[in-house]
Amino acid sequence: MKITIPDEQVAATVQAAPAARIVDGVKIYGTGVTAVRALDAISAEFAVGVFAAIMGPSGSGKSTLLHCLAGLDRLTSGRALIGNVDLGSLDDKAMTLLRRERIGFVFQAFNLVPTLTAQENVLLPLILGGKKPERAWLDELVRSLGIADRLEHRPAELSGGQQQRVATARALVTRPDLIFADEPTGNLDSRSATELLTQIRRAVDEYRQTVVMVTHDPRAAAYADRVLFLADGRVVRELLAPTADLVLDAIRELGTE
Amino acid sequence: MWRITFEGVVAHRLRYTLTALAVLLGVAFIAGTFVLTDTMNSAFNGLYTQIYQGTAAVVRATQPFAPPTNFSNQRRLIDASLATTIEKVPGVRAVALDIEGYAQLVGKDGKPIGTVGNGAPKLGAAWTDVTALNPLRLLPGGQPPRGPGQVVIDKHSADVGGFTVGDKVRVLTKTSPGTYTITGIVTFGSADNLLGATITAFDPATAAEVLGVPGQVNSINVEAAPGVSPDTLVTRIQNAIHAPGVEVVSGASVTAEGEQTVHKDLSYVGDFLLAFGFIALFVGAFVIFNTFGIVVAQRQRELALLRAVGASRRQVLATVLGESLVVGLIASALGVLAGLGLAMVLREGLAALGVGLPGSGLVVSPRTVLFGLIVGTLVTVVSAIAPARRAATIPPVAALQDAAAEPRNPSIRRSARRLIVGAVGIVVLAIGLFGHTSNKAPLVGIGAAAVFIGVAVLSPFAVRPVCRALGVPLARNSTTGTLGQRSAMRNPSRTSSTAAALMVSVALVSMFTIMASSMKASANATINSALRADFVIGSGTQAGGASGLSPDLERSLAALPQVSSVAGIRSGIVKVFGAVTPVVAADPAKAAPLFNIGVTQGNLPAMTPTGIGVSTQLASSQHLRLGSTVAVTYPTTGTKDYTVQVIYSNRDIVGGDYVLPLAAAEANFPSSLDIAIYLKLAPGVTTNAARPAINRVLAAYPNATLQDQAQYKASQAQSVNQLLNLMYGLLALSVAIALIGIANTLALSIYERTRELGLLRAVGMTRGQLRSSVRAEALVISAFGALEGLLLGVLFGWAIVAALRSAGVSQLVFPVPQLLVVTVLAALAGLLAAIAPSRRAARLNILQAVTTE
Repeated sequence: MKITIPDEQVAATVQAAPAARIVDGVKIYGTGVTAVRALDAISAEFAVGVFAAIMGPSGSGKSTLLHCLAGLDRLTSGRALIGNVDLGSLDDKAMTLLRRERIGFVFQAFNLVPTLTAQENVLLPLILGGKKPERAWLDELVRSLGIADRLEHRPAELSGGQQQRVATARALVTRPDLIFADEPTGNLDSRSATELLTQIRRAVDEYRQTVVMVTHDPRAAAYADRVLFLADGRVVRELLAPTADLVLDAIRELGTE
Repeated sequence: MWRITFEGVVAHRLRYTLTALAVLLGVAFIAGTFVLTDTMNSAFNGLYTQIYQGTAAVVRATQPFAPPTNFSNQRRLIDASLATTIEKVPGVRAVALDIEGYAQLVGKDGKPIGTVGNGAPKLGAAWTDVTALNPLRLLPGGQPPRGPGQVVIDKHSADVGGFTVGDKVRVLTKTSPGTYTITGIVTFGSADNLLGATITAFDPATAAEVLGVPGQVNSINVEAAPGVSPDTLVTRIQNAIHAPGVEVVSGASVTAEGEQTVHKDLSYVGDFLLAFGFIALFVGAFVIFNTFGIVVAQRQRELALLRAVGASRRQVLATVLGESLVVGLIASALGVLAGLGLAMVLREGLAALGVGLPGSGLVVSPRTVLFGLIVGTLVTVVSAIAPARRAATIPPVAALQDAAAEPRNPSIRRSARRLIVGAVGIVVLAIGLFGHTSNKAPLVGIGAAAVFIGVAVLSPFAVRPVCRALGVPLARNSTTGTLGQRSAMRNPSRTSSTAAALMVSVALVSMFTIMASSMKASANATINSALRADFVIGSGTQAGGASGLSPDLERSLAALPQVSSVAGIRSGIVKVFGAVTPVVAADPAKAAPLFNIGVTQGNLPAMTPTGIGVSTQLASSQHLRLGSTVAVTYPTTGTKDYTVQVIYSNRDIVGGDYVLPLAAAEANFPSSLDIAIYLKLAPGVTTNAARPAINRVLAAYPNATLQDQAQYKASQAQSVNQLLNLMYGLLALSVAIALIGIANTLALSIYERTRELGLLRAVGMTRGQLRSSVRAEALVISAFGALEGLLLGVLFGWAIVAALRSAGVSQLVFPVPQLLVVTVLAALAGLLAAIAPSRRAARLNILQAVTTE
């Protein structure tokens, strides 16, 4: 299933229209001696239709990067942009609406609202915005994710893999500019993980979705078009068209630096 | 383990704060009631001691039985001439003639001074120059009353009426109204206000004429010469006088009697208030039960960890119970303090209403503190037992599992056992309401509590279907409504026990509403069917009271050409067939055309001075027929026999089981005043046409109120409404506690759902939407409680009206609009409870919520 995109083509797309950017992003937690510089003047761009993975050891700032790009957290200085919108200029309400309409999320766990059925969970961003779902798009989504027969079930009645697929459908349902996935396979067995990654890959290939995924797993990273390696709040390396072996090599090299 | 317990409370102090508040409020109310009644008791004790300080002995008529007093004198008069005999007894320094009676001051605006209708006495008294025997203290600048045209009045009345020494004042007594010159202002002991009572003192001769009977006195008070003990003096006087029906007692025992009377009166008020304090605590118990249940569920892993590292079940149980003990003790201690504040506020409030208390300083007895601490702590600990036992059953392996508190579905088997509680409750309640037991109130209370618990135990089964139905309108309007509704349905046990607190309050409010409507309808029905009078002239006097309307008024009204019949009604307290009861008396011939009392046997107008009318109910229970003898004991004159001459069926219009002829009242009742006068117009005279003439006669009697039938009905309804409003006010506390409970559950649930709320915010729920979903959840919970309360309230209302049938409540009325308003308001009150939790939820830090493990 995996489609390899030539490096030049990726580079061209990045230049043309970034779905999200971070420019000189600095994030400092705490003050004084206990201050932690989670992001250290980081700059990166995420092109439309590209599946990017972010890797790095604990404390490297990868989750912080994701949160700041996704409008869940604010930078101390620098700029984070979704399309051409500077997130720093938005108030809570505008940020919320932006998340609702232009961003999709898949978290590691607790992805679904337990009181809602699978279908209601999928439609949640639309329902919150008072919008009607496109029937055809919804049908296609649930069919391709293999959850068509689970739609009336509550999350408690779904397996972990099914739950993550429902979350993925929710992330896709609004056709967002960008999907953020935070360790989406972290709680899954390897078969479910493979299935989920395959489906995310397909979303990128078939629907030209843009995905930014934080992961620890080199095999998961191998599904991406490019991998950014972070350390101490900076991008220390980038890998295009990764394979699991290449990712592992890179990790090893970085670890020995 | 104690250390763990204490740390547990500290760590969860926020969660426990609202719980503590629920206990605190109930305890504060109870402690406040105690402090207030103790303070009043002590004030009166002080006053009585002060008044009778110089009185060594009191000579007065004996009393065949002591009626429940309401300030009126219920003894026969004695001969004033006894004083001359007493004065000659060795060791007597001075004597004072005590004459008491009704004296109503009239303000400059023509209106009576003092609170009308609440029973605060309008005392008239004879002035005595013997300082030691005079309870009144003349303020500087005043002179004692001398001669027929002078009076002294109490300071509070003077202040209220704007009177100063030298002013003229009109005073109503049992004789025609008179105008007097004020020669002085007095205080009662050191108090210028005695619970709103007014005092007018005349010189002894005038007092005998306008208050009592010339040549007779209520009692003779005696001052002892130095060195003579009261007991010696009492014995000497007893030996000196040999009048039958006269007794000599010491001043100390009169003081004790007075204190005892006040104590008894206050304890009625105290018990009434305490009942509402206990209701508040009972409602608080649901809140406590709920909080501990939620906290235990949320701490499952922590408690399992304790078990895993070796704590026994018993130790886990003790930890949770220990926490409840600490919370209960702290809350109760604060509650007692708050009760002090409450008592202070209430005392000021009473003073502002003109019901001032003598003396100063609040009385805090050890009992108040102990009772408050014990009751509050006990309620807390007992309510925490079930959650603590659940905590003890958490298996150690739960420490390793990720299972968050998944709600258990209500178990039929478990509930069936507890259902027995409810069934027993219904039985106890039924015995309390309808049985022939002496101590009904506690039975009714315990029975009702058990029914509430039974319903609360069963209601989890109803939560899902009912909330689904309640949520339909919410869900139709918004997603947030759906989310709120689903959250309310998520944990049926939690929702139902949260709602239970509100259920109790709404049930009681509904019950009282139904009771009040039924009472009003019953009064109307009685008036419609049995009152033939066109006008009722009231005096605001209750049965057996000392105030009233001078018999002169009846005579003046009878003289009007527009009037066809008129009758004054007297009232007294007697003992018949072993029961103390108020009775009415009237001239049978005059009263017969005014009332349809449903005579089944005999002839009312022909009733003789030795005749008596009895109700059909009494006739059947005591096996009476025409000609049977009924022995009536008066507190003044002892036992007299009467012959049954009339048997009547409508005891509601009579207000009791006996009707006495006027002659019996004149000979035996201490008061010779009419409590009300009923009047029928001549044929062809309309009420509007007659009104001016009647009003001209009434002008001389400012305490008389003229009401036609419609107005009379309205005033009956108004007095019921006043009582109802008082109940509403007292139940407001319970409603507030129930709302605290809802707020607490919401806050704890929100804490529990941090991740979920974070997720919702992440995928695009605005703060406003989050707030409104919490509001919707609160609304569904409170609506559930309100509906349950309404159903139970209807049931209780029906039961209490059935129980009150013998007390004259013959109609059962369900005031649908009021009940709906109560229910809807209670449901909407849930929105109030949601304010703080919804704000807190909206302030939630999304990032922390989605990243916290």
